[in-house]
Amino acid sequence: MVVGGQVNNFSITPNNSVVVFTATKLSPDISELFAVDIFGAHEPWRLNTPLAGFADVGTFIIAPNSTFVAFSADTLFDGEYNLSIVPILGGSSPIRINPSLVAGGRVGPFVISPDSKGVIYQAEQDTDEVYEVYSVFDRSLIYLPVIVR
Amino acid sequence: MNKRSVTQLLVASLLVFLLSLFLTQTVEAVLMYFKLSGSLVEGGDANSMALSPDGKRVLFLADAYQDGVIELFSVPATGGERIMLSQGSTTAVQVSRFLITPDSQYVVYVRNIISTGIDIGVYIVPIEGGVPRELHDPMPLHARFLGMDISADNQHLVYVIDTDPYQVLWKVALAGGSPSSIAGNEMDVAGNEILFELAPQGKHVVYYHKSIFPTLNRATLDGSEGDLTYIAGEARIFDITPDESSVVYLLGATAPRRLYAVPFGGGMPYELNEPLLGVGTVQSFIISPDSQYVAYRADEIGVGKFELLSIRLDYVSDRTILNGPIVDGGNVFMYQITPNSQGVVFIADRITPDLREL
Repeated sequence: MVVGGQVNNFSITPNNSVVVFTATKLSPDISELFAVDIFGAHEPWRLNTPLAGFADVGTFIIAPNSTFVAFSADTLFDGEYNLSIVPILGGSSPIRINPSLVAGGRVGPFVISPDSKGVIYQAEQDTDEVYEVYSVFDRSLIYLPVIVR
Repeated sequence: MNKRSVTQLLVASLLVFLLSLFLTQTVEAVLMYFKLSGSLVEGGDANSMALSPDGKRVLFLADAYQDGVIELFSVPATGGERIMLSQGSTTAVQVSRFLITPDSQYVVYVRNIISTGIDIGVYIVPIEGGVPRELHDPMPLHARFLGMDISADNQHLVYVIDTDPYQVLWKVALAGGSPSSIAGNEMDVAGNEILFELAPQGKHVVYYHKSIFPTLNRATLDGSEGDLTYIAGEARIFDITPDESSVVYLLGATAPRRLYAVPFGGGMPYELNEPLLGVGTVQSFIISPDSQYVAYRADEIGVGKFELLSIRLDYVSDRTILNGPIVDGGNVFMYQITPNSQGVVFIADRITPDLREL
């Protein structure tokens, strides 16, 4: 943990295997998303891609089937929070699951469906300052995340 | 069929196979997007989104047809027809909150006067649309819903209405019938306070009622059993074990607070924490999902040093300090019991003061 860093929040996967947490672990000013096996047998692994100085991971939710995390982060522009999913065990980069946002837009609250097949979210996606409700599901309706080829 | 036709058929079959393979991969790759709130009038917003427990429908509040006229809507989570569930909102009266029944079949919602925040009605409507039915008619004047919840068996709505200066705990059958008060009335002391939690199986409500004296109580929602008072005392913070064997609570209006449990069906309360030093206090607790343990945060060992401890509710073993040694000035902050009740994860500055680690 970098000097001045700290763990901010955490959640345990429903299958009891992994703890997902946000922390200013690598930089005291940037909150990022990490996971660690519940017994601490391995070093935590970072789930988000490296973030710019203005960026942060906002909130996150673990999928009920314990396979992925959905999280918001302003990776591109300060305050423009997009919604991404990433496998909890890592191994691949996060996939942004909301379409491009209008300038000034952001994703707000979100939930994962009980069957882990979709994410429902509020966002200023099409019009700045106008929150609307959206959902995104894998077309195969199997479960998220999918590997986008 | 000649040799050339057979070759052509084989080549065509191969092409179809390859094409289907390609298409399958493409299909897997495509995410489906749905704009659930549909079109909104200029200036309109959609907020307070909630997913039904079965994951099939999304509920939200929106001023979809007229700016500032907020109604309740329901739509399939994977897109489809947006249905307006509520009726009668104006620029002065809106739907302010809603709850979905655990079985995902109905929605209960409240309407209020925007300018005053006074609640004027509570209704139930099928989640896929229908005629709303008022549950509490007539509503008391100057009412404000302070809390509301639906029993796990989908049978009752339980809610606290504050009519200033007194609060009343009500229940009403969702299937129909008159509401009845569980605690509090017009004769109660001004400024009384009621906090409640529904029991996991949906048959009981446990509530704290601060009237002339503060008490912790239990009532049966279907009236099949008599009410009981667990204790007379300040127990504003309480929880029910998932198996409904015990009620766990913190006793004390302010610090120092002590951790107690009492059998769900009534009986002698027993203190769970070890004797505390001076002004030492139990600050919070969590019951394990298997109902066997309580993890709690207290400065039980050294005043001002908040540590994480656990105790079995059946007292089979002594309480355990979970966090190990903590540096002077260190504390445990946030904690959570694993879903299988086998461990506790916590944040503490255990090794270096002010360095909060997991």
